Formats: sequence, structure tokens, C-alpha cells
Amino acid sequence: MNDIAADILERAACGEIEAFQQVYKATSGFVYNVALRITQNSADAEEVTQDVFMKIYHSLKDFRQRSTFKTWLYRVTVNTAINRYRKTKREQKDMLDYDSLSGVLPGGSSAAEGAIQSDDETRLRALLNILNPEFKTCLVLREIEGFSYQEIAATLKIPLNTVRSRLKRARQILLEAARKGLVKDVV
Amino acid sequence: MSCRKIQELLKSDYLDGQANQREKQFIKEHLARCAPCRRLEEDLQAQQAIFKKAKRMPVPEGIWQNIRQGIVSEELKQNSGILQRLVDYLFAPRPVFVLASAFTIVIFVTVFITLVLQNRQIPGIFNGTGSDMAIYSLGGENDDSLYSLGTNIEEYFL
Repeated sequence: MNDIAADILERAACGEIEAFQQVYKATSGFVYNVALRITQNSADAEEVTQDVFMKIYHSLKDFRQRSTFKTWLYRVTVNTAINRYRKTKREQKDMLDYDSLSGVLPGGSSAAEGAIQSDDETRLRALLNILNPEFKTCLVLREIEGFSYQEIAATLKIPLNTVRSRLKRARQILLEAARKGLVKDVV
Repeated sequence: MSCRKIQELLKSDYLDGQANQREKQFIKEHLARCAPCRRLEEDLQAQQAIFKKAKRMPVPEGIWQNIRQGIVSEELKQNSGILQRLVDYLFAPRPVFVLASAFTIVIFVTVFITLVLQNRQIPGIFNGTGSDMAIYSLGGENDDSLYSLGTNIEEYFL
């Protein structure tokens, strides 16, 4: 994510829309891509991105600690994306329940079974689909966004050892899934 | 260091480059002679490679337009908010009991003011009546027939 000058943040906080557009340009890549990896859905990622920037715009004038702006943005992004992911899952579950009852979908279609894919992108999606939102978020921030353990801990407001254990657990789950053949060509 | 401890480090600090120099050296020596741990390390590296190859997706064009539109429409709503609130207040439909209460208060105030004005006129009325009574009593002093009851009892006492 690109650095944002302090005066741009100040102007954006005063409601200057051109300054806020610069904040958007510098940070939207991160917000959209993290949202996309967590929600696994481009429509949800777009909604998350819009929600995040509307929240940021409204709260920026009250946000005094400009130095921690990035951490704050990371946290808002991750929380909004996780909430969106859970909401979509619930809606899908409701729809799936209805479809199962009406016999539209064939039985036994689990996320893991549907995860057998070929190319890198679909394999990555399959891997992320196996994980719960907490493990997935840790792994996305570490492996894709290149966050340090300290940055992940600050973003998620969790202890450093929890970051370490979540990463270990997430990798273990993915290895086990791969060994069981749930994700093709991973190991 | 046991294989279990080595594997824990492989899945976190070692893979993420967070292990210190001493740990790294120790793990490398262990991997050179332990096939299961070496296999795990290879698996983890393969897994990590998939994440490292993740493509960065471009942000769709329309998102900023939607955000900007949202901000502008909210600001317009806020600016017209004060006038709109006043119009709403003045023209909002009132409940019947509020109107009835207001009507009662108006009647009460009207009656009260009327009574106060009437009370201010009372001394004037009394003045007129008093002067009539004074004339009447003065006239009575010189007229004995005024006090005669038509009997002789007065004469008896006098």
C-alpha cells in the first residue's frame, strides 16, 4: 500500500473529496484484494470496498491518531470483509437448505469436494475456501500481503503468539486437506 | 530439539523468516538428516508458492464513482436537512389529542384574559353605585317618612 502524506489525510478529514480520492487511490488496491481473498466473491469484495471507504470518510474527522491510519484501515477492511463473508455464507446456507429440500442440487456437494481445481488461481481459492475466516485472514495478510507477525497482531488486535498459532494451524489444515486429496497438486 | 518442535517452527517462524540465526542453523542441520521433516518442509514450500503466485486484481472502475456519489448525496441531504426539518415540523400531521389540548389552552387563556379585563372595570361600577347610594342616604336624612313603618312604636321609644 502506498504511503499517504499527512496533509492529504488532514484535508480528507476536513471533507475535501479530492484529497479523499487520493487516499482511495493509495489504499483501494489493498482493500479490494484483501476483501476479495476473504469473501472469495468479486461482488462482495466491491461492496466491502465501498463500505470500508464510506466508513473511513465518516470517521476520518474524528480519527486523531493519523500515524496509525494504515493499521486502522487494515482493521476496518478485515472486519468488514469477515462480516460480509459470514453474511453471505448464512444466505448461501439458507438458499442451499431450500434447494436441498426442493431437490435442485445433487447431494454431497461440499466446499472441499468442489475444491479440486487445476490452475494456480483456482487452487488458491480452493485452499482459502477450506479455512475459517480467522485462519484465512492471517494467511492472506502474511502470504499475499506480506505482513509481519507484528503487523498482523496489530491489525487483528490479537497477541503475537496467537498470530503464530493461527498460521501454524492454517498451514496444517491445508496440508491435511491436500494429503486427503481435497486440493489437487498442492503437495 | 525433537522433530515435533522442529515441525512447529517449520510451519511458522522458519517458513516466515522469523526464526533467528541459531534456530535456522539448527533446523537446517536437522533437515539434512531427517526425511519426514524434510518432506514437511518441501510441502510447506509448495503450499507457500501458491500464495506467492497470487495475482493482484485491479480495482473495478465503478467503485470510486459509487463512493463519490454516496458522499455527495449524503452531504446534500445534510445541507437541506435544517430547512426540511422546519417544513416537516410545520406541516406534519398532528395527533387529535394535541390539537384538542391546544384548543383547550387557547379557550382557557381567552376566558382568563376576559375576566381580568372585566375585574379592572368593577371599581368604576362601584363608584357609580356608591354615588347613587350617597344621594339616596342624604335624601333620607331629611325625610322622616322614609323611616316610618306606619306604626306608633317609634313614638313610644322616642
